[in-house]
Amino acid sequence: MEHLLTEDLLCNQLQHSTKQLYRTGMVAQISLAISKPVSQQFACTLRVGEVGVLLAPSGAGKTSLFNAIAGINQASGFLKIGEHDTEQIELATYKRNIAYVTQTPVLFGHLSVGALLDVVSAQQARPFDIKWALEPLKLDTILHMRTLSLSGGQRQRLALLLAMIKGATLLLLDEVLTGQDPSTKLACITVIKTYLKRNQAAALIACHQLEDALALADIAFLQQQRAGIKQWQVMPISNGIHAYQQSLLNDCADTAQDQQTVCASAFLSVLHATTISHDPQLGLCEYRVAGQPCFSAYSPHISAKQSVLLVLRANRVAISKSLLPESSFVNQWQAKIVSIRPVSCQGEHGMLIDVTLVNQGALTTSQQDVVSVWITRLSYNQLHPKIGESWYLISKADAVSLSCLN
Amino acid sequence: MSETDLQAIILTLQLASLTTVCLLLVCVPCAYFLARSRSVVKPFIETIVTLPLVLPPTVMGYYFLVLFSPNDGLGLWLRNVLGIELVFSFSGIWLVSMIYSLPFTFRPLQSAFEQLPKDLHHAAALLGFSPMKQFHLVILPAIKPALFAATTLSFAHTIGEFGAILMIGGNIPGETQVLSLALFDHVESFNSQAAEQLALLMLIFSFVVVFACQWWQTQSSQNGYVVNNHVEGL
Repeated sequence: MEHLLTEDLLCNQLQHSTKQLYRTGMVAQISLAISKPVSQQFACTLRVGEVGVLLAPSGAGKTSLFNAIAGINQASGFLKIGEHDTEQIELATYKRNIAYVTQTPVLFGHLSVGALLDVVSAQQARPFDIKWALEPLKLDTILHMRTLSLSGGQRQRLALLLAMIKGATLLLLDEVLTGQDPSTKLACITVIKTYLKRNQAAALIACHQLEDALALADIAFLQQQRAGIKQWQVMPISNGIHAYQQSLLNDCADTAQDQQTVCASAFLSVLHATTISHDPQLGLCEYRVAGQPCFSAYSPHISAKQSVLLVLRANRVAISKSLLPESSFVNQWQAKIVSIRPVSCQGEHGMLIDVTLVNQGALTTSQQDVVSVWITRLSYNQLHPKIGESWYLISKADAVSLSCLN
Repeated sequence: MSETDLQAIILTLQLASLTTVCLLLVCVPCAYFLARSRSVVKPFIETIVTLPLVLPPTVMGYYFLVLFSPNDGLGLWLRNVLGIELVFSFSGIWLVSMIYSLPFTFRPLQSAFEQLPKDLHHAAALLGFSPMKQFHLVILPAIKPALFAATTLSFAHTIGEFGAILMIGGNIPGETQVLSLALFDHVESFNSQAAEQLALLMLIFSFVVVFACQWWQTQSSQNGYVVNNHVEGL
């Protein structure tokens, strides 16, 4: 986990290492201070294909930050996008090498979808060819329809397509996956990743659904209040999701009123795994997690020796003091308890236990994933788990799912 | 139909066309900026623009006559320096028509500009539209029904003008005698057949204009344009 850097320090570091960073595929360097409407500081560097997600509750200033990056709101600092290290901060919105899909996209209601694509394409010096994305985004059959008559999901997908036409190196996506059904959501994720790869671009996204964040993002940005100013801290996505969920829980405990939906029993945990094999006959995929065998429901989209992220929900795993050899729990991992926390939030009363898997592999790994386990107060009183003890983390195969990231 | 009547029809059409075109050129940018303005003088400007709607045309005509009288003040200066005489001339009735039809052009446009989504400019800018292209490729097409309403209403209203034109232009056939003045002449001289013809012509024209406005708005609202009831709104 990287430590939070002050704006000035980060500015200096970034400026000194600009040329070196671009050689390693760096496409965006941002260091901004925003005073209105939410006072905040944001600094990051993004490489080709990299996606960063802003994890913060509503009203934290995610949209304000995007507006500042896009040039709609005022900001100070620097904003360098693209290979040629082009400074964007002084440029007008329409000149910036940035495409932005807003939370509620404004489409020109008097035009048909096809006409709108043509008009927007005509404005670009070098429009990005988006024909390949029409079919996966299910827009190829509605080109004749007026944008006014589109559904919310169709509007979001069209806005994504319009943003891509610009061919910008930095893509800002504000809740772009909200309102999409699972199949179109997957299509959107694939299209976004393909665009980033083809156009040598990077993206910043804001989304409330952590599964979506996990499916798209490589790194996460979390807010911290320092000296009255909100500052964004960067961390790997798996750590970011864990820290964000914990911060939601802290906020819930600190405030008498529940200001946002926090469901501790459904907390997500992320595991870094390596694929071993997949067996359609048995309906299983096999992985290694911290050197221990792991099984998930069958997925045809993986190959051997592939690094993947696996996702678990806190209420789909359990702890056991001993192995359960004669049981249907195919996943039984040795783990060590690192924290135990009573939770009383939004009508839920239970214990959230964080464990780390005991590494049984030949190779040591720096990545030590934390898994959250939700148990009832009754189970806690009966089992008396303690911090530092070794337990078995048990689950069925269908409790483990593959993140779309892979 | 007499030659004088035909002259009046042609003059009226010339006056209405010229007034409408000039009003559109002036009102589109002004209404756009006023719609986006948060200035404290905005209500004052709106009042000035709306005033011709409620002011009796003869009052306006009287002030014009006083202001542009060639014997003194502004009228004298215009005649001596620029060689322009506004009283009892086509230029005079054109100017008074501009003022008199101003609210019929300005208010529908301002209302349409105000109804545009607040983020429309940002949305267009984010897609790479320069400010000029935002205006003529996004903003103007979106208010097409309002442009149509402003055009037809100002044209129709200019055709029906009477009091103000009579005050500033007199009633000179071939120079300042418009359709409504010709009709007045026929009524005064008990030429009921000619009066009936002109009255019917103006009635049909007015009906067609209002009906076209209403129909266009219905069509436009179904097609995603910014519309408001420009006719009833006035």
